[in-house]
Amino acid sequence: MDGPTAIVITSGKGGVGKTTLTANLGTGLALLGKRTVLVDADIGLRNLDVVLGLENRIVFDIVDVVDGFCRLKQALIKDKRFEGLHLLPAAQTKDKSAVSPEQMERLCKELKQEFDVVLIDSPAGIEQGFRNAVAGADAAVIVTTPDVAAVRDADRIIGLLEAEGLGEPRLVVNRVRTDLVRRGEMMDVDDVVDILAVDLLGFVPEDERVVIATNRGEPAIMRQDSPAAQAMRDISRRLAGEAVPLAETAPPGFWSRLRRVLGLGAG
Amino acid sequence: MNLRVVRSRRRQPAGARPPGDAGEAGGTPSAGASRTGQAAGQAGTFEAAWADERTLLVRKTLRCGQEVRYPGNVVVLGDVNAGARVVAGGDVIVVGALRGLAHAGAMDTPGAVVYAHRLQATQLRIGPTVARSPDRPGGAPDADRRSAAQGPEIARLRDGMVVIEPFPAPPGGGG
Repeated sequence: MDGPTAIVITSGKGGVGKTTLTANLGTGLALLGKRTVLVDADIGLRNLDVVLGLENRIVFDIVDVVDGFCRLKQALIKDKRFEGLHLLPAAQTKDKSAVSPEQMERLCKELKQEFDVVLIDSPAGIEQGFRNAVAGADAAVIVTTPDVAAVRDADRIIGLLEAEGLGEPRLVVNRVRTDLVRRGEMMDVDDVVDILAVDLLGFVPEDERVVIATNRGEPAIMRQDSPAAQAMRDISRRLAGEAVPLAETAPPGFWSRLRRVLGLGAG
Repeated sequence: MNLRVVRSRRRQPAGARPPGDAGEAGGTPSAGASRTGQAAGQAGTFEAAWADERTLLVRKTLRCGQEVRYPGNVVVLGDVNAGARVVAGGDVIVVGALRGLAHAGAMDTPGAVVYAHRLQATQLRIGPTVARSPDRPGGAPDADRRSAAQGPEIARLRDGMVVIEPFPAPPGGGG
């Protein structure tokens, strides 16, 4: 990572884990010593504050900032648990049209003067909210699950990002169910990468400990007993520019490939 | 190896609509890069130039929602993903995986073919004939799996049916 970067985390489809991933990767980057701000661009359906457990501290939000009702500093919430982690919350009472792409661009530029990393949590969909979220971004991370519908939407989003000049997004395959992959009932990570043909930033195995932590409003990335947390820590380090090899434990596609080699696959 | 053949015939395939319908037929072509845009822009000459021998080279993967229309042949150096479509007056050649929709011979050009390095199309249209991929029992995501990939294949019309064969034909095999 050279200089401050604004990275949008987007997916097209809802429910694939954008917000949870944004919260965790942001925490991971802060733990790596990066001054990090998380921007909730899902105006009208704000969630990032809840996932981070910071809901009760919101006074001003992103719409107040772009409308000039408050200064940027007043709206930023400092996460006291993690040095260097900040949140710019979304507005709950407005909708996507309350902010324009130009305003987002200006806002991101301003944030980059204060922070090393600006992580933008994009809303689902391909409409104005998505356009706002990508407007100020220098790079994009696509999140998908290994579901056919999610991969289809991710593909569409990659096409739209190309048109926005964010041509080389990186991919996170989230909530990989190793048991289903093993039985050949879910695409493995290699299948997804094959279809989307973009660089893989990492994959995160399904892990109920992430769900539980998220419901409590605490990032799961700290947990030492969770393979998903380990995967997210690795992804944070890759985002920060470190070269971290992909997990050395049997990758999700290993068994299905082995079965195919042995001729046991259902073909 | 299962030979995937046509089940249905339509006199008026959706892809062969008059040029004025171009936008309505295929979602939003606006997502495409400039090259795609040019192709769409030429849709006006579509009907008149059905015997067009020109070839459009698309140097990128066509993703879901993107569409290329061209009166001549179309060569895609990349994949055509599910949800994307290529409509050509002549042949469609995909040097990659064809997972979306390809329509060759859209103006009833005789002898039009669809070739793909990995032919996993959701739907193939050649001239007036529509062929779809086999229904998948239990909805297993075979079409999205690499394991479903075979060698290069070519699809063409034979006696009014879309026939898909390995290409080049295996020695001694013969269709």
